[in-house]
Amino acid sequence: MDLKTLRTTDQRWEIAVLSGPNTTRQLQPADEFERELRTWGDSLGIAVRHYQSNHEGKLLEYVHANAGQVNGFLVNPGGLVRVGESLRHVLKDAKKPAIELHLSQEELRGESIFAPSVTGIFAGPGRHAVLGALVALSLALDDLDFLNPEGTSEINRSHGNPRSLYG
Amino acid sequence: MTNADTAGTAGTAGTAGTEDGRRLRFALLNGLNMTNLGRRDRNIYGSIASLQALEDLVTEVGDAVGADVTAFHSNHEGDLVDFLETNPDMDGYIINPGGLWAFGDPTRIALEETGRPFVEVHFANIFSTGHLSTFTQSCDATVMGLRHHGYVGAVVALAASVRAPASN
Repeated sequence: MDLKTLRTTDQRWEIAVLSGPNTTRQLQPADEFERELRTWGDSLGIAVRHYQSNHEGKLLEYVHANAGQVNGFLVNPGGLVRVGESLRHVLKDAKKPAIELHLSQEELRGESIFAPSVTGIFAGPGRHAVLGALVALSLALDDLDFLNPEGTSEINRSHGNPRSLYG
Repeated sequence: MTNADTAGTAGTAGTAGTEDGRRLRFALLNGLNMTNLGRRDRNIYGSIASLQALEDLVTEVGDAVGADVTAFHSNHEGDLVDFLETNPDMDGYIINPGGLWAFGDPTRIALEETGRPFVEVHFANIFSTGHLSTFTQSCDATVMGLRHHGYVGAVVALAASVRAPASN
């Protein structure tokens, strides 16, 4: 199906997908994953850039360099899920919506240090999680009352901070 | 996932579609307090007008990905368990347990016992409360913090995974 039919604007959002340490095996074969990202992005009418690194510092530098240009991040922290404090922090600093992404539901069953401070979470099943997360994030960016950077209502959360149920 | 879309739209190979021609059956369950949607904290629940509007949206998206959606909601946990016991043969389940997220073990067990994939969806990011949802431990996918848009992503991902089960 043409995923554009689900959209409510035709804005070409820029979404960065970050894949952390130990994710290369999940993403094999890598060229097929890149092709899928392009296909999904084209079908949604958005631009998707992907960066994988096993080095936390490189992920930080990628966020430093790209935060100004993208509308949101999908972050698969891989092996950093329990220990990537610097990556968690730079995503907070970026003040852009960030969705924690896992290609396996099991990865969310332990302690994620990202989960409490990201906008949202999309975990499992496999690469379909990336598709689902791209769809949900694109629609959320279309929504002036949610993640759309042009939104001005008091319930707009394009700054990326989650709203606590207890807040 | 690699065949041309039956509707004939170009360039959509690899997206969730209806290309295998099989009509799927999904159940959408909304649990405690969800009947009050539209009157709840808009900072969490956003601009969706009502539970009916949400069920209509999910049904519409389901249709677009080739799935018939049966929507069910109740403020009584036993009703959810009854529903699952009488409808155990869906291709997949999407549940927002509402207030059952913390303690809804009977509902979680009933979902597990269907043996079918299920996705938990929450408007809010439950983890930002510092707690874990009891559903996270046994569901196939978790979507949180994306308001009603999370349901749309969940339906698309669930349909894609039922048609082409994930290998990783």
